[in-house]
Amino acid sequence: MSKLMRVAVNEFRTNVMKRSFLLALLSLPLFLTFSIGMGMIMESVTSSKKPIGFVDQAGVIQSLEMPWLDTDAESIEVRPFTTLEEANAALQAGQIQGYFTIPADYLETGDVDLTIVDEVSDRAQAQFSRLLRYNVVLESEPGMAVRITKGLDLIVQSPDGSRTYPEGGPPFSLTLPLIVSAGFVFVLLMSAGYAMGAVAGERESRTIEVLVTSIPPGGLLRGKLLGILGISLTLMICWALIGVGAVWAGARVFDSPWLQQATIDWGSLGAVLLIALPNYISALAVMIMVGSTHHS
Amino acid sequence: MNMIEVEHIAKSFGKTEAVKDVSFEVHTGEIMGLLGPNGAGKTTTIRVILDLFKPDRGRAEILGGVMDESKLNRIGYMPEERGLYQDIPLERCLTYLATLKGMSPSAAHSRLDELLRRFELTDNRKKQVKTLSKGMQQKAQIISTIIHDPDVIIIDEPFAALDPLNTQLVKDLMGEMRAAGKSILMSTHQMHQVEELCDRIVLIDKGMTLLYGDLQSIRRKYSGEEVLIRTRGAMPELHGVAGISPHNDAVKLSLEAGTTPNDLLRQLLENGAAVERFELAIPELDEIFIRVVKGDVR
Repeated sequence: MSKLMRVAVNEFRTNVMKRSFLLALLSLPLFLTFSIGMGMIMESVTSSKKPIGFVDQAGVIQSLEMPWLDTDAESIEVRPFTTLEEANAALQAGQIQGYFTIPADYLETGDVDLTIVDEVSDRAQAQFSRLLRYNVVLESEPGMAVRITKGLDLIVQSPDGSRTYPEGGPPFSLTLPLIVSAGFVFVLLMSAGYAMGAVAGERESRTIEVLVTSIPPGGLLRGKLLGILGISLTLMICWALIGVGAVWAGARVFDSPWLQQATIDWGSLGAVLLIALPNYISALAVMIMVGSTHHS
Repeated sequence: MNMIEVEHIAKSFGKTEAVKDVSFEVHTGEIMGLLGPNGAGKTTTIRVILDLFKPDRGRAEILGGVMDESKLNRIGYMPEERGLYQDIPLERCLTYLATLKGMSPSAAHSRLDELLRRFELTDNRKKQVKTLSKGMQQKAQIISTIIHDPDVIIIDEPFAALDPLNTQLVKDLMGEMRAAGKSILMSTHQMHQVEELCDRIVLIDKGMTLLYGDLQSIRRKYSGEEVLIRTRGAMPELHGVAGISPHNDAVKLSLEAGTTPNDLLRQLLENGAAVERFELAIPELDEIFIRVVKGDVR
């Protein structure tokens, strides 16, 4: 093994055995878990499942059925009130999020009033809006009511039809390169400490003079760079394995359709690696050189 | 053959002239003492020899030419600033440093076993370096300097933090290396160690060579200015004496310029003194060091 490789192996071994490496390793998964978890918590907090009320003075809502919904779990109860006083009392009692008032001239003006105390979730508003549209159409075009209310089941596809993306956000194969790019940024942040301290640490431990009389300074720096690249690669591989585990769990355990349809677009992924990798190595090299000029 | 050749080197850092004019050679199979007060330029001289600094003037060669990569494995260097990796076991630290000197891991382990045994560190090989005492770390540092059997050893204060037993151990080791034809450049302030070990010395101060040569010649050169005398009964009054000081069971007389020991002996005999002891006072090296550095004598 060459001296350069010995420096690299020592750099890798020394840093990987430290507790800080374990922290760096867990930081990204913990950060993502925390972010996603917080998002889910915020969603559940802000998305009230309380019923929404309405007072129909125009007499357009004849049916409270919502046949466009795929599952009952998606629905929020819509509660009719005959008078504004009743609806107001329910709102004040906290039984409903709010109530809509459909005025008698609704069909001419299209105006609908919403009365709230705090706020009404977007989901509840969207659901009532669809219910109203469904009932308006139901009277004139009963056969088309569901189709018109539901709108499009949009499927985006590539010109040759080989790639299709269901509605509801970008597919996994498009998201993965973004995640990998973010991973590179994250690993750069993580390895900045290793890079800046690679030579500065030798100065602090006063081993630098012994080292530069054992291996030329250029070889020492290249060895350090190689060692830190090894650390970064280890981090990336561990994160990738954790990511694969998360996708598997999401698809199999949590039945996420988005993850069940997960594929990898190797072309996009390769392009990201082609751009990110040399940039990452250059940035590391600069950081090692900056660190080596530091005098304690 | 000269293993190290330093010829009129000079090195400045900004306006500070660390080394102005230093020259010396280290021959094969000798121990050369590099002496000088703090800030004399010893470390800078060593760094110029090792090509860590480029000299502004002059020439420094090692192993028959300027320092280059091919010579790294033939040099052992223990710098002024001691350094071992504190957070790893001693064995791993020393093996790593040995492999950077071109040894295979198996050869390094086998030589390490031998040296750890000799330095009585075998029981500490698995311990983290930071848990070892200063003396143990010093011994470990010496091991890392010689483990690869270098031809030239440049060693700064090898006896610092060592007890008398370990000092003797290191001295024996250095003597063995000299006998094996190794060349050692040793920078130290411990003059009695220099007197015991070194074949020649170079004394530098303020970046200049003040003294250079073999120890015996230097000591002879600085003798003759003082004599030790013991007489039975009172000593007669003598001319040409600059100062008198007690010295064990005798007195030490410093001679005035122009007065020789023979003049003094003649005076004693002419005055009928019963002389029991009369000898030239050979100055100790630290005495010469102080006199030369203070500028009393050149």
